[in-house]
Parts: sequence; structure tokens; C-alpha cells
Amino acid sequence: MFSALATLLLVLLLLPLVAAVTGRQRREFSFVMSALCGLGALLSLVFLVFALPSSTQVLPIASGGIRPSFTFDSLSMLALLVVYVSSAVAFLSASSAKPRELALLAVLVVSLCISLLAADIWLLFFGLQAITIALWSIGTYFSETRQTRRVLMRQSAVFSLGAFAFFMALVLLTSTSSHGADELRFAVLNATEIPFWQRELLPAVLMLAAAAFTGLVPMHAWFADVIAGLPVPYAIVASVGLQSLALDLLERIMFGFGWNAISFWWGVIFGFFGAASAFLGSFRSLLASEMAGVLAADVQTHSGFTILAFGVALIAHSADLPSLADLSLAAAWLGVLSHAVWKTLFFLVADTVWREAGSRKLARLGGLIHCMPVTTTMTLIAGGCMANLPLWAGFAPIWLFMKSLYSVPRLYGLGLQISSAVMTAFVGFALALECAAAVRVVGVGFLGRFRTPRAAAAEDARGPIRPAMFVLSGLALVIGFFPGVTLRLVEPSLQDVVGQGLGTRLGFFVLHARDGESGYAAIGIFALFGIAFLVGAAILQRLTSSAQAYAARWEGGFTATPAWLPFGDPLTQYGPASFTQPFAKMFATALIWSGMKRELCSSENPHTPVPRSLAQGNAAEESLAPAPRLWSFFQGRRRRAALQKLRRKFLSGQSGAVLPWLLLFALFAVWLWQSW
Amino acid sequence: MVASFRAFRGMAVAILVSILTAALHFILLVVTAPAVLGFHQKIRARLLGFSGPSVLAPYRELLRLTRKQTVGVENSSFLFLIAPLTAFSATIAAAALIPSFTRGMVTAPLADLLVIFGLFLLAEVGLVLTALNTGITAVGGDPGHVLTISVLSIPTIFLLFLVFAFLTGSTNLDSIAGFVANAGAVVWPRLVMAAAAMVCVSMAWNFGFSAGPRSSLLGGISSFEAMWGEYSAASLALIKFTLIFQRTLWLTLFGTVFIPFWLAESQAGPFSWLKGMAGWGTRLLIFTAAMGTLEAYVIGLTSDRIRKLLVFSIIVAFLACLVAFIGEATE
Repeated sequence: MFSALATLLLVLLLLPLVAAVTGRQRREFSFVMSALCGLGALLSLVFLVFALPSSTQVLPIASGGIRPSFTFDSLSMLALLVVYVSSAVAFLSASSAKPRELALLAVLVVSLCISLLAADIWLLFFGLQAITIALWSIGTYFSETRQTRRVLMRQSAVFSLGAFAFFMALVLLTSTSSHGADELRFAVLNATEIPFWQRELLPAVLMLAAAAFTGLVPMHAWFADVIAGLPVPYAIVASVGLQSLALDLLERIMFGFGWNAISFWWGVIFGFFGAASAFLGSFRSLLASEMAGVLAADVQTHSGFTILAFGVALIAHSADLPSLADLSLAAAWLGVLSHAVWKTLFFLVADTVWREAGSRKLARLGGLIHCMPVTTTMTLIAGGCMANLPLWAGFAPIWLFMKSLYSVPRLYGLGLQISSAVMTAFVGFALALECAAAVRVVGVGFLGRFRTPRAAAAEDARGPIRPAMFVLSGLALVIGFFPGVTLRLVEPSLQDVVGQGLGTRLGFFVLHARDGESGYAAIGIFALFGIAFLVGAAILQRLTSSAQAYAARWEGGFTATPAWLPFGDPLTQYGPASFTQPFAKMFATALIWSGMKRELCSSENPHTPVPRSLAQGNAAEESLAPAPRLWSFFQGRRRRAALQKLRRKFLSGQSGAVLPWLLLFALFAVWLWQSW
Repeated sequence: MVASFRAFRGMAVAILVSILTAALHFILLVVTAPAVLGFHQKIRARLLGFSGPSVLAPYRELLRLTRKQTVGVENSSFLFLIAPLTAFSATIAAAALIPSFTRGMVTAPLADLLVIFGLFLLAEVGLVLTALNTGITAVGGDPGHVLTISVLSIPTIFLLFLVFAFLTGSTNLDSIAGFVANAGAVVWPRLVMAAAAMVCVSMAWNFGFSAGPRSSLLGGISSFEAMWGEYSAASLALIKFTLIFQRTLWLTLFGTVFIPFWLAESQAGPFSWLKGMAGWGTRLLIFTAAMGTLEAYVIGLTSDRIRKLLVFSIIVAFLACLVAFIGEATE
């Protein structure tokens, strides 16, 4: 098994390199690479399903007395499964890529795999830096403008900083006197007793590292732009792979300690950063002007949820509640798994739309349901997952995660209780904005009327992409209907890391948050929904008159559309800006604090970064949106404006001034009540 | 052998009774939903000085629509009927989970608040996609406003769920209703703020006043009528019934969570059920009258004001959390 996986990695790396050197371009290369990744996914699946024992393999090479080693355990196999599945689809969608482009993708995949399988610090550091270099090379290869390259350079520096932070975290663990030169493996590190200051510094460094690799606050500035700027195959692997890598490393390092080793406040801090990232990511996602931008920003949202769930697990870990820690980690991993599946599907849809309709900008799409019914159906499946609606794959992780978050207030005192309430409110906003973003993509991009002749001439997905879409949508449905079965794959890693697992809480049909409590039975809900749907359809069929007439669409009172506008007047159709305006208005005040207002409120017009396509080179006109400036608030003008706004809200008696006063009054009342 | 047969028979009877109560609950909801709207219209009209339409007017309206000839739209897609049917089915599925007069229905184990609200959201998404499907005009209808209401409601709803989970240890609606009914006077003061927040959200979702998505159902002039302007006859009746049904569900949900008195146990027998039905009917009447009164006196609420109401509801929900936490700590 282990030899097979190691050989697979080697072949995965060498095959496209040889092809690139020889310069032979054949479509079969991408299919072979995809099949190899599929084989890797199958091997990982076998490992997880049969709960094979962990093993560490030392490579027969040495450098400076250090012998690199790989670990094959349930956690690395779980993360590897995510990476391999997404890579298989990514290679398939890169069928028209040149050999050197395939080689770049292969380097990215192999570096991710090395980082996941690394059993010692040096190999991990090597893997992480290889990821950074691979992403930088890919971005540089495909970017065309100086501004794009500048943003890429900044994000690469952030990635590099993340790699260094992971390295530093592990160095902190090794700086005790009991370690010899050879004891740089994780297995040894986990057993160490470290001083207080190192123990408290470690989560901060890890937080920084995870933020750098997944685009969390405060490292969120350029992440979405860079992911949106990558061609789809690379964007799939980067967005999905980096998320699973970050969670794998965090879990591996932080949960290696004994109970109560880490203060629960670190869990709260992780939670706050996760919640803030989820909120900002979902807001960016809602206001993005093109599909890749929506999906890239949504990666930040889901990374935020993952880190928040990890924070809850840390809180539970510090309170010596393994069952709750298991629940949160299960929610995080189920989120990563489902996100990997539906995000890959959504990226494929975006790629297909770009190829067929000539644009990914929502303002140039519309009406694709008529000419791309299969792609639209796939979008509905992926969109439902993104909107976290019941029965879709996105709901089960959110359900688990909310159940674990709702258990937090019972653990400690008022401070943690208020923190959990604030996190809940942020999560609520993030989920709602994400839902709105998904509806916007589906409603504006695929429904309604055509907006351009090119979109009207689009054809449905074809070639190898089509079966890939069907497989991914099938996987999404399986995760949605049988989350308990999917979590069986996560169970071995939970047992290894936390020591307990979900056990009887994982039913075939029902997923329980706690033993003896009612749970989430997607099949039961589906049965109710399905019966209602069939009955409704039957009633409608019976009541609808056979002599059905057809009429032209109502134009809402506008004058008749001139002949030179074959798809109707675009101004009379609900567009992407129509959705964003109320939200931008609503959250504008809050966004002053993040320095994102100017960028986001104008995101209908700026050209988001779309580099040269693998297939078509229609992105020459694109350029990067200006990066958000975090420090802008501290500049005089904005600070004055914010203070003026506060003064107006509280003192001027204008509309809405009552709310802050009411809040103050209520807090005062609560304070009085408490003393009483 | 005899004992196990009796146990099996007892279990089978219990399951049958729980199925029967679920069916009864569902039929009651379907039959009374239009009457709730009719009563609401009547109350509001009376308070504004008009005689108002009959309480049975919504029944007649739905019946009239089902008899009309269907007019389809050229260039409509396969979502034309699927989207409203999705909204309808999600609402019906939610209805099966919300107990009206009895606890312990066959669907009780599925009745998680997160799932119920998720189904409400699914119905809302279905309605918005219904509106966007035919390429409506921006001034003719406003799906963005409907989504805005959902967006601003979700934090409030999640905070309220936090309150329930904290106080009762569960987010299952049946358990919450049982807990509140048993704890009664002890827990009720801690739920006042939560109830206020829930009222704000219910008003924004279902009693949208002059600018709300449901206002057209009340006979007022609303631009939101245009959201489903391409639908006619039976399909329009389906959409209208979905909206009417959602209103009754919200009121039932509110009553079950906050005032679950006289709520029968499914195994308690028909007399107990009758008592439960009387309790449910009384709650519906009181809430509908209260909402009608409120609507009559704040009828000028614009969409901007609805947003402010929802922001206010978030603050109140946050305070409800504080009250629950502090109340538990000082106990």
C-alpha cells in the first residue's frame, strides 16, 4: 500500500516532467494523470474504509544526517483523499493543456501530497515551500499584467510566511533539551512537555500559518484574487488542497498535547478569526462580479467555518470534553469533504460557461438554462450546496457545526458565552450572505433572458467534463443524503487524534450530535419533501387546463423593446448589481472597519483577475482589482468620517439613531439586573 | 411470548397513533391556513374603518385561480414549475415538522429547528428563483429585497436557537415545547426578549406591510406582485397557497415554542387532542389579531424600515442571549 502510494507520487511527478522536456503534447497525458490521481484516491479510500494501521516510512536517502520520512496514517490519508479527488478532476479538465502546464499542476499536487505525508519538520518545510513556489510559478506563467504579478508576489510572500510559521511552530516544540538531532519527527514531538511560554506562543504561530494558507483574516487581502486568477484546474487544487492541508496540520500539531494543555481562550481566538473570515469571505463572494471571483471568495468563507469549528474543538479539548471535540472536528472535516466536491463541481461549471459563453462575468451571462440545461442542473446542485440548504451536501456540516457551537456556552462562564453568541451572529450573517451569493449566481447567470449573443449561442458541457460533473454531483448527493456514512471516513482519524470518535452517533440514515438525542435524517426530510413535491405536481397537472395558451413576457410597463435588442432591454432585467446594492448599502458602515468598502462596492465594474486561459486567450482585457487596504481606516479622512458617523448616529436624532441608544439602555438594564 | 406480543402491539398502536396525529395536524393546517389570512384581513380592515372582505375570501380567491385557463410564458424553462413546486414542497415538509396541537407525532424526531428553518430558507430560495426565471424587471419585483430579509433574519434566528439550546439543551422543537410547557413560569421570563425578536422576524417575513413580499396577498398595492407576474391559474394558486401556508406556520411555530400550553401528547387520546386543538386555535386567533392590529397601525413601513426592524431584532436576540446566560448564572 505504502510503496504503491510512494510510487504513484513519483510517477505523478515524473510523467509530465518527461513530457514537458520532450515537448510532446498529447491529450492522453492529462487522462493518464487523472487516472493516477483516481488510483491514489482509491488507495486512500481503501486505507480509510478498512482502517489500516498507521506506518512511518524512512526514505533511504540522507542529507546532513537527516533522513526524510513519510507517515501514512488516517489523518494524512483523509486529507490525501480530498487532494487526489480534486486533482483527478483538475487533470481531466486540463485536457487541452500543454505538457509544461500539466507539469506545473503535477508539481503543485505532489508538493501538497508531500506536505500531507511529511513525518518530519524538514520534509514538511520543503513541501510547504514547494507549494509556494509552484503557485508562484503557475501564477507568473498565466498572468499577463504587471499588477497581477504584483498581487501574486504579495500572496506568495504570504504563503511563504505561512510555511515559515508552520516551521517555527514545530521548532518551538523541538527546543526542549530532551531532543536529539534525530528527533524531529511528529511522533516524538507529540510526546513532549514544553514550557508555558512556548505552549502559549504555539497557537498564535499556527493561527498565522493557517491564515496565510487559507486566506483567513488578517491574511485575506490577496488570497481570493490569486485563486480567482488561476485557471480552473489550478484553482480547484489550490482552493481544496490548501484547506485540507491547513486543517490536517492544525489538528496534527494542536491535538498532540494532553488535555488542558492549551488555554480555551485560544479556541475563542481561532473562533473569532474564523467567524470574521467567513463573514468577509461571504460578503466578497456576494459582491464579486464574475463566477470565479464568487467561488474564490467562498473558499475563504469555508476556511473560516473550518477554523471556527477547529476553535470550538480546541475549547472542548481544553474542557476535557472529547465527545464535543470530536463533533466539531467531524463538522470541520465533513465541511472540507463536501466543500471539495461541490466547489470542484462549481469550478467545472464556471470553466464550461467561460468556454461556451465567452465570459464568466455575471453581467454578460443570463438565460443559459435554455442552451445549457445539464450545466444548469449541475449549477443548481452546486448552488444548493453553497447555499447550505437542507438535503444538499453543504447542510450536514453546518448542522453539525452549529450543534457543536451551541454546546459551547455550557462549558465556561459569561465571557465565553457572550463570545459564542457573537460568533453565532457572525456565522448567521456568513451563511445568509453565502446563500444570497449562490442564488445570485444561479438566478442572474443561468435564469432569465440572454444578455449577449455569445451566451445565446453557448452549448452544453461535453467531452470528459460531462461525466466528471455527473460523478461529482452524485458524490454531492451521497454526502447530502448520507452524511453519517461519509463521516465513517473521518472516524479513524478522530479516533487516532482525539481518541474517541463519534461511535454510535453515526447512523446510516441519521446523524446524531449527541447520544440519545434526535438527529438529522436527510432521508426522512427528503421523503417528506418528495411526497409533497409529487402531490403538488399531481395537483398542478390535474388543475392545469389542457388548452394552455402562451403569451409574451410582461415587460413591467416599459416601452416595447426595439428590434435591435433581440434579448430585450438589458436594463429591464434584474441584474447582478440589483442584488448587491441593498447588501452593500446595509453593510457599508461595517465594512469601513475592514477597509474593503471601496473595493467591494464597486466590484460590479472592475475587472477581476482572469489570466490567460488554457483554451482561449480572451482575458487580455482583464486586470486586477485594487487590493483592500487594511490600514486605510487609520488614515485621517476615514477616521474622521467614522467618528462623524458615530456622532450622527447617537446625537443628531436622525432616522435610526434610536437603535444604538436602545442597545445602551438594554445593556444598562441587564447590568442593573445582574447586580440586583 | 404473550408479553412480547403485547409489547409489539403496544408499539404498533403507538406508531399508528403518532401517524394519525401527524395526518390530523397536517389536514388542520391546510384547511385553516386561508382562514387565518381571511381573519387577518378582516381585523386590519375593521381597524382601518372598513368592513373588509369575508374571512372566506382567500378560499374563494384560490378556488377562482384554479378554474382559470393557464397562460404560459414563451421562452420559459424547465424551472418554471419546478421552482414554485420546490417552495411548496419545502413549506409542506416544514409543516410536517412543526407540532400544532400535539407533541410526539411520527415526525417529531426530525423536527430540528435548524432543519425547519433550513426548509423555510429553501422555500424562500425557490420563490426567488421562481421570480428570476422569466427575466423580470428590476422595478417590477424585488427578489433582492426578499433575500435581504432572509439575510438579516438568519443571525436573529441563529441567536434564538442558541437561547433554546442553552436553556433546554436541545434544538429539537418537540423537546423545546415540552421543556417550556413543563418549566412554564420559571423559564418564561427568560424567553420574553427572544419572543420579541421572533415577533420582529415574523413580521418581516410574513407581514411585510406595504413594502413586503406578502403584502399583495392582503389586497394592498405592491410592486412585489410582479415577482410572480408571469404565473397564472393553478401555478399562481400554488404560489399564493405557499405564502399563505407559511404565514400560518410561522404563527404555529411561535406558539409552539413560546406558549406551548394545552399542547397534548400524541398518546393521550382524542379528548386531550381536542384540548390541544382548542389551545392551538386560540393561539392562532390571538396572534393573528395582534398582527392585524400591529399592521393596521404601522402600515407605512417601507422596505428600509423593515431592514431596520430586522437589525433591531438582532440586537434584541443578542440581549435575549445575555438574559438567558445571566439568568442561568444567577440561579
